[in-house]
Amino acid sequence: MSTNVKKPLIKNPSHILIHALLIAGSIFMIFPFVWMIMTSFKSEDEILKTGKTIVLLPDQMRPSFLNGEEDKKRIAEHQRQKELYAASLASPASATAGGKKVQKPFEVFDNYKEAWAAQPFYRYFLNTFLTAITITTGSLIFASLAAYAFAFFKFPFKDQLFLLMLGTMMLPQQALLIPDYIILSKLHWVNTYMALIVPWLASAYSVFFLRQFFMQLPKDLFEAAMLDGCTRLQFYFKICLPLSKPPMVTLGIFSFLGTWNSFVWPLIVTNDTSLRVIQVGLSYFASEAGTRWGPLMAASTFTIVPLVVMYFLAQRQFVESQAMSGMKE
Amino acid sequence: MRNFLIGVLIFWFIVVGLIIRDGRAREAESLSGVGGDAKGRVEVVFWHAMGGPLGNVMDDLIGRFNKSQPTYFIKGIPMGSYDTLAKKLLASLVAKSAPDIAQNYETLTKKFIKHKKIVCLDALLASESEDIKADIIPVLLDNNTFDGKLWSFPFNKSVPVLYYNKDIFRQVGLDPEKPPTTLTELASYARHITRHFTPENGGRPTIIGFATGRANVWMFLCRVMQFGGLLVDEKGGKSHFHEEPAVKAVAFIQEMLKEGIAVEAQGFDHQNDFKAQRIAMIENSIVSKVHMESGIKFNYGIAPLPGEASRAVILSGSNINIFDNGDPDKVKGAWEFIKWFTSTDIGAEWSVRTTYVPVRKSSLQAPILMEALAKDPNLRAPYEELEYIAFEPRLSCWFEVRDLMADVLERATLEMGDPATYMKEMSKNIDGILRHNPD
Amino acid sequence: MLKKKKIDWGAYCYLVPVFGILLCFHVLPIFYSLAISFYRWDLIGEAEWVGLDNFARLFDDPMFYKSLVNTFYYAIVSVPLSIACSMSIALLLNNPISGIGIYRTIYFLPVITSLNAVSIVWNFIYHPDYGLLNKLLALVNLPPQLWLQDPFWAMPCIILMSVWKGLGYNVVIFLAGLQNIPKHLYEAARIDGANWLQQFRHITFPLLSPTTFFVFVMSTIGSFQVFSQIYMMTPRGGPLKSTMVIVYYLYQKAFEKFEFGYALAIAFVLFIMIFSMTLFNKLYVEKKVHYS
Repeated sequence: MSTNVKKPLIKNPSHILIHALLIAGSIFMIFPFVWMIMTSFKSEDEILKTGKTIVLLPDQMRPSFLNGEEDKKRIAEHQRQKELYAASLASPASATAGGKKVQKPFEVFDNYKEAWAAQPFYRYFLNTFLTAITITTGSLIFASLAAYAFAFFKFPFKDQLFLLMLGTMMLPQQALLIPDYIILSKLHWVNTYMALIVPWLASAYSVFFLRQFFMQLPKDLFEAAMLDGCTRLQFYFKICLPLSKPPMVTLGIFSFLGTWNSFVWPLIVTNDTSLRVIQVGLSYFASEAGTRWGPLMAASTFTIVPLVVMYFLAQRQFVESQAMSGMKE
Repeated sequence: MRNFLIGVLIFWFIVVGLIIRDGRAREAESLSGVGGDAKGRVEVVFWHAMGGPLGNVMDDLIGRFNKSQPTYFIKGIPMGSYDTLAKKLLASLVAKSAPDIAQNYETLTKKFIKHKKIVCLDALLASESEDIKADIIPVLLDNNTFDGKLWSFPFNKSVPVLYYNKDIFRQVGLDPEKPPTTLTELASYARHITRHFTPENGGRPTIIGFATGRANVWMFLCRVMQFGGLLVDEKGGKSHFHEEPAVKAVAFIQEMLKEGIAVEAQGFDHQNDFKAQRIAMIENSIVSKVHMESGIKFNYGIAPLPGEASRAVILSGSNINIFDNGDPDKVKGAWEFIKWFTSTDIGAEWSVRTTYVPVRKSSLQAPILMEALAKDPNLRAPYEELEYIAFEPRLSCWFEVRDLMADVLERATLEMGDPATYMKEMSKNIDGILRHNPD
Repeated sequence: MLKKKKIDWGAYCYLVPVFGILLCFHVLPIFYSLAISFYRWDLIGEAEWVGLDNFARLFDDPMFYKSLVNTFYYAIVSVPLSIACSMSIALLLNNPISGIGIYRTIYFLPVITSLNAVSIVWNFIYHPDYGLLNKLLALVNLPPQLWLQDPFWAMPCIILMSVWKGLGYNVVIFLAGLQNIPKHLYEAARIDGANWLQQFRHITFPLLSPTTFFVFVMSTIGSFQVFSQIYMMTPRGGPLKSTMVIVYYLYQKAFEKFEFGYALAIAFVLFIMIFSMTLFNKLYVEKKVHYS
């Protein structure tokens, strides 16, 4: 792919059409995010506005020449609120206007402040990072070892074991929740980091994926190395791992995403606030906030942003790996 | 690649370090109240469903209890919602790792009694010098008494009320201090308001009179009782929804919807519509006041729900169970906490700060409650409703029955068919469920 | 090669970590679940043996049929739609145009976000009063809809959101597949005067078929297990149960109505369905796949 980009830009007329189609699709893909971020900066008054006009930018970020009649009215009202509030701070006597307490007027980051304070999200982020990194690295090591064995070794029951492993992917996770929970409780792991991490260190999908990749490596290479007195573990470390960087990066990213975004499992296996992960926190916050869209969008935004940042960081590796691995059945 | 891996490793250690630091910070915080560990005291784990502003009050009270005595430490763990709480309770019971106390609905309490998972409170009450039972508001006592024994303790019980926009009332010439008291009045007020805000050329009205939740079983049951009807017999397994009052209850809302003077909203959407001044009156739990308050920028009133043949309203919210985990110290600690939490003054404070009804009659006379009522008349409605509160049938299959009712109610207002047909079907199907689950 | 006669215990060492965990948390629970599906169990009390009753009950359960129909509806619409869209986008991206990296990132963005978060966002977009979608309709003077609250629209709304969410993943896989098609084939075709459509029909589509097959199999398995977005966006299985799918139904039976044995019976029927479908795909559909 990267070689294509480096080619000189050809002024091919058909490319205009391609760009047009891709841009239209991009707008559809990205608009929900834009809408989410914009809404997260809006006050409830702005959000609960109905009517035909679509106001994309929040009041406090919009250049004034874009304001319609209604917007101007709302902004003026907001300004008045601000002044009233400032006055009420200055003299407590005027703290009630017309029998009602003067409320603090909305500020741009209020939704974020409210959402962030509603749950110990800081701890949730730490827990999520911990589980995601541990699971990603751990499952990659374990899966590549198993895939290596499946691809290169001959041993009894190999096919049966492989089939058994594939079979585990076909039952919905919801059906296994309670039995898993009982096993965890027998191990005294309920409500510990172990429960969050250990069961996910084995991924049948990763083993399958890596095996497919290892199968493409020439078998002679392995046999020649064995004859040269190379041990199997050496071959794994010196040949297999360095060669399998692309699929490992792909799997790593998906494993990280999967863990970051997992919800039902951590919800069931942990109780304490100090063990909660980000998705559980988000869902708790969602049931608390009900239909308060502003803080909800703010919370959604800050649970998504770290992932997007990380994706950009890992993207280069990822693109290369995708280009190289290819899907050969 | 190597640099990347080293980077990941360093990051991992930083995260672990921060978690340890955060854990220490929490421990330090525990000295001043909530969170952290028990420090040699008897730890009582309490799972609850109080979040947002309610959770803050809960944390505050738990912290104060922990400071008030040296023996017990309540570890309050919020579970987000009743739904999640119930699921986690079940899972924990399967794994024999239940909390010591938890909020709970009557239906599950019934299951817990049957399978001996919870402690009967009668012995604990008997050990007290004070006659606590005599001071509990009778309907709450009945609500938690099963076969003559008190198995759960009323904890956070709420009632439905009518919220109305006083500014709109004034604007259309209605007396803002006289909210509707009968369903007939409610409909005529809604009609009056909607017409006032319907454009001359017959477009969509800018403000609609009334809104309720779609397929809202709670409100439906209230209305059935308000039309003088019965719900489901706790013993004998028979439902009364094929009778006149239930049919009237469905017809009432259907007619308002058809006329366009009311709308139905999904979940809590009508709260937003009310806040945005697009709906003049909504019916909802009194607890919504705590959630909505900060967003309301107009004068509003809270009134008891209108009645018709009677003014019945139905309790919602949950009770509290003590689980039988085999440690008498924890049971004692749990009981001490419940007793303290629902005591005259603390109960009154809880009631004022969260709008849940207090457990004790004496709380109704507590100074903090009297003061709050004088300051905010909108707090008054639930206390006025106390006289005619009822509760939903406590059957172990009630969740299933409720689900079925919600399905039928949803169809009744989406399809707008003949109410009697829906109710006949509902009654028949409920009787079917009851036959298989007689308790 | 001499070692071959002995049992190679060393090989198993490589499998121990993965299989230890799989056995403990995936295989054992499967058998445990299978056992429970022969009992009536409300999680709290003792389990009661009922034999095949749970499975027999399934055949008389109208809601089970409804959930089957809804699941097929979801699968039949979302899988081809997603494949068609992602293949087209991959084909567009497989041209030597500028800005590929940006497009690729944008299309992949929904994939990296959590269903929890995007469900909240789409809930708001579909909102009948304040939602973006109705506002867009109003711009072109179309009447507003109830979307997720409307029995007709609820499922299409879920499908649209799901396709949006999963599209990027398939795009990446298709792109990888397209990279594997030898360039010289196109050059030869161009020399023969084949136009774009002919090239697609005779080169791209057949040579891409292994990838398409992979995407098809994985998407079908995934679509039969659709759950999270239904759970997050349409409480109680949607208006008039129009989004009640199998996994949601089994979840509701297990965790809301506490009929655990029955829920697991549903799970096993689903398992058999997915398994036989995958087998069918492997045996019959894969015959049409062109492996180089």
